[in-house]
Amino acid sequence: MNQWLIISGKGGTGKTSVTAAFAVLAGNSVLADCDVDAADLHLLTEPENLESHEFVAGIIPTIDPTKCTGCGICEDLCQFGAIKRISLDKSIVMQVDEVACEGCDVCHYFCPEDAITVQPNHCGSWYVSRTRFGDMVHARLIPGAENSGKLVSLVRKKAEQRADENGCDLVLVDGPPGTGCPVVSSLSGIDLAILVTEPSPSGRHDLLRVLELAEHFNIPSEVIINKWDLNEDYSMKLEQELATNNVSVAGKIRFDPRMYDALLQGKTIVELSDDGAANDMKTIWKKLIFNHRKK
Amino acid sequence: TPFGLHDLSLSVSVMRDMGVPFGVIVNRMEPGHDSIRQYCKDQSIPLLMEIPFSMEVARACADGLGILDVLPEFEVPFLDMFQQVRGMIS
Repeated sequence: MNQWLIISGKGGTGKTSVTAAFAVLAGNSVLADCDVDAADLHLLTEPENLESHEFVAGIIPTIDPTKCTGCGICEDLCQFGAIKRISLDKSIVMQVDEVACEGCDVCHYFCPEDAITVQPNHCGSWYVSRTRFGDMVHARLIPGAENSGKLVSLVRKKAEQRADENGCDLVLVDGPPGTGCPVVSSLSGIDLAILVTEPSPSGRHDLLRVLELAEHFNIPSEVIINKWDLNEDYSMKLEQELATNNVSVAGKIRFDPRMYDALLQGKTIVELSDDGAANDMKTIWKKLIFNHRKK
Repeated sequence: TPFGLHDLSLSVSVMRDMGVPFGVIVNRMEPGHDSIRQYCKDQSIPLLMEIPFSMEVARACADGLGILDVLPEFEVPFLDMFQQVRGMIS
């Protein structure tokens, strides 16, 4: 099984566009959209939904105002400022702020009046869909909800299972931006990290951070410099810096205004053209397959 | 872009859930690409500014410069936008 993750550090460098283009070029793969906070891969893949599931993780407490005496022990103990006093029918009772709550269960444990109950926290949903490239596992975290790392793990696990079931040897994972918990979660068990960057100081800065992360987990990396001709000098310097540090650059993709048109049509650029950025992507894909795909 | 609009709608949910006042700035705007403008109108969301796509700005940002280094004529619209934001929060 080959599980390849596309990440970037900085957002907006082109991860999702590149992932979808690679899915076209691969011919047969299972897609996993691990950007659960703001999933976009479905905008390019026209998924037909096959399965929908609730994602439940952690707990959310509720304070019964009829039992609460307003003693405030829960408020004092809460490390997250998630309990506040409110006035109800002329008495003071405590109330949980569900957005601030981290589900640690301390309030529930220590309430002397047994006024707090906990329910499983419904944080989002995950889906299995069919697309023109293969099956796709994706998810949606409810805006403001917790446990994005867990949801990412779940998407990864289901995608791998699906690939096994379908007799498919390639999982392409559209990763989350940044270097936080969801990214670390998406890196687990990955065979190749494909780092899509852009020629700018923030692109470079965030690239170096994800490179460090991939190295920390001993995951081989390949860098793609996207929209490289927006700053040719910076691109060259970046390439030299990476070469000096023994970081492999799989290739460069030029800025191509047709990317926007493709996006508007819900298609990938490799489906709409053969030259320009599409050709750059094809060249890179062939190199990646040759150097990294295990039989 | 469709990605921008989609992710914007998620951010809008969060802002509304949390009761935080907000407005939208559209960056890299191109003529005819007005899905965001339409969305803001439909949702009664203040559209604070539209900054046009510009290759010069893209190149300048890649050099670590700012929008106003390349488009100094945007100084007034930016100041107007700050005033509008001030008005929204007072």
